[in-house]
Amino acid sequence: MSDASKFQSDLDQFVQALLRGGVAPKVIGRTVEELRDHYDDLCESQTPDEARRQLGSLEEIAADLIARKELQSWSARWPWLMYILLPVAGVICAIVLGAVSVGYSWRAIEFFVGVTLVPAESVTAAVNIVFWSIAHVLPVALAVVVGWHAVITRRPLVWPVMGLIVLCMAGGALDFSANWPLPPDGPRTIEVGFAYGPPFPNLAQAVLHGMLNVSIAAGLIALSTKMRTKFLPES
Amino acid sequence: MSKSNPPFMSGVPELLVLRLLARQEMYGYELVKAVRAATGEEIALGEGVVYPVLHSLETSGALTATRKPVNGRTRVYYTVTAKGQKRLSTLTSEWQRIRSGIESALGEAGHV
Repeated sequence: MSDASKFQSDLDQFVQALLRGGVAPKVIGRTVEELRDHYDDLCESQTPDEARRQLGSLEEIAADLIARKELQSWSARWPWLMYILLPVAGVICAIVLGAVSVGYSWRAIEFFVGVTLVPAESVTAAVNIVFWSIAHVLPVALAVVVGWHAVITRRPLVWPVMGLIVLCMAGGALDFSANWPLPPDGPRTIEVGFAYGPPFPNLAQAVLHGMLNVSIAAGLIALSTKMRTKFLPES
Repeated sequence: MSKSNPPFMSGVPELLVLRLLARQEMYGYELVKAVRAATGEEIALGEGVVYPVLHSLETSGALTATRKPVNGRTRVYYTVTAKGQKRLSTLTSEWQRIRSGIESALGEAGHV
């Protein structure tokens, strides 16, 4: 192995150690770039072996970076925030935004088109699509993002898996209904809520979510193991 | 042989880095050479250890980093901020206090 490729291989291990230690990817990228430049500068005036010695031990540099809490990524410092609270807050925000946008759309239709000209079934179907997406598509999409982030940043999978479970429960329990106003002044309602407790009305939804999210988690764990095997040397 | 800092050297790299960068902006390799020159090669560090110190100081707002193209390569130059100047004066007075304490202890020991 040439000196350059040996150094590159050492840097690859260095990166893996930093990711496992929770150092922010931005810091890792910059450090690697700077160490490579530094090594190249040293090589201009000495042999690669001397340059390597002069640069110092990458293990010590990694230990120093990992020990500095201020250089840790958010997901290492506050995993519960990144993998549970933020995704669930995302679902809740989407519900609120969905309800508000449906409400304003109704008002706009009433104002510009008139209630009587719009078939109630079409409006109800459109509202159902919005909330179905929030209940089913969004939690699964967030689960993919959470899991993928955990895999590429080499985070322990405990918190992300808990996040997947909470997202599955939140999405599976979401209950919604919409009533288009009947002319001339019928009631207009949008009801959104989480249905828990016996009799559990959304069991099928929750099971569907659970299966999807467990499949995602299993896929990510497999991917994570594969990536670790690929990048890390056998000890 | 690997070069490392004994615990007593804690804070010294930070002080040196801030002191040298307060004079002029530099990139990592340049800074290491400046440390060596400024300390008369008395302080020998594995050169890579400067980067955790730089990044830590940057995160705490004591330094800012700017990318600049130099001879076809992009270098990351570091500059001391106002917060860094304040940190430098705190560290300098702490270090002078320690140094004067040690000197008087050594002086007393010399008279025994």
